Amino acid sequence: MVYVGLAGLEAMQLLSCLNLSHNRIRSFSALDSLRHVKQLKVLDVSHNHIGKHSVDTTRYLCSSPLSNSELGQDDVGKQNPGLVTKYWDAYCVLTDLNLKQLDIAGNEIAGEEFSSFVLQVVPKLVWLDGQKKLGN
Amino acid sequence: MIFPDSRLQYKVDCSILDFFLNSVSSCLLLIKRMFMQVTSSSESLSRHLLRYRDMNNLVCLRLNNLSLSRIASVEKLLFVQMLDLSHNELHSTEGKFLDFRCCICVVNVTKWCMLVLQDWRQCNFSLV
Repeated sequence: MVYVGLAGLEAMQLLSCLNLSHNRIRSFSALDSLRHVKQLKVLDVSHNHIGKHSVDTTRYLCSSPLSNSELGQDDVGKQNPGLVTKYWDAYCVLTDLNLKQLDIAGNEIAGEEFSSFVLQVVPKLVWLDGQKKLGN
Repeated sequence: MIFPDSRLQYKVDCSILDFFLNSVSSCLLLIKRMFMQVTSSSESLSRHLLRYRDMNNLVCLRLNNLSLSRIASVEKLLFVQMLDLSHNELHSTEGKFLDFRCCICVVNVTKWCMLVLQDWRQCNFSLV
């Protein structure tokens, strides 16, 4: 088997701010490599296509909630198992990031339910879609 | 290049090889045109670099509005702390060609592919 590979953004370990707004990203699983960028604090994925397509071919990159015994067993997973399943790819990526600021406006997935879910999954988040989180 | 087994085997393998090489080369050339244009020299790269003195000398690289559709050759960008890739055509933050993994049964063909593809030095190339 021949394998040709090029490094993605996961190689940029000093990256703290990343603006990916106004691109063609279709799901959070397309951001999976960012899980390894531990310095990343600010992420802008606004105005993409996240949640627009019901069938997302990149979903296979993220393990399913049924196949993973550890993920989904935290407080969010126990309190809102339905939401964790619904937003599984976002859950996988966001739980591993240490974000302080996230912008997701302008995506199909954006809305009150998802914003509420994100704030539970990323408790250290300070800014979401330009709004400061209450209590910070 | 003639394989010892049979002429038929030779024809079939050549068509597979042509398809494989055409696919990989067109994709690599596309990527070269995009990311390499920017990162190939310090002069072209410096046009996109900013340093924010009021933010601890943060290094910012602006690659917005360039119609980029793939990420490649970030090896020269490891010092960047802020990266602006907005207003492009990116589908993913991955840099790997998952779509171009392929199986070629004949060892000689694989070796020959390696020789051809070694021209693209920016690629990590390996046999799995």
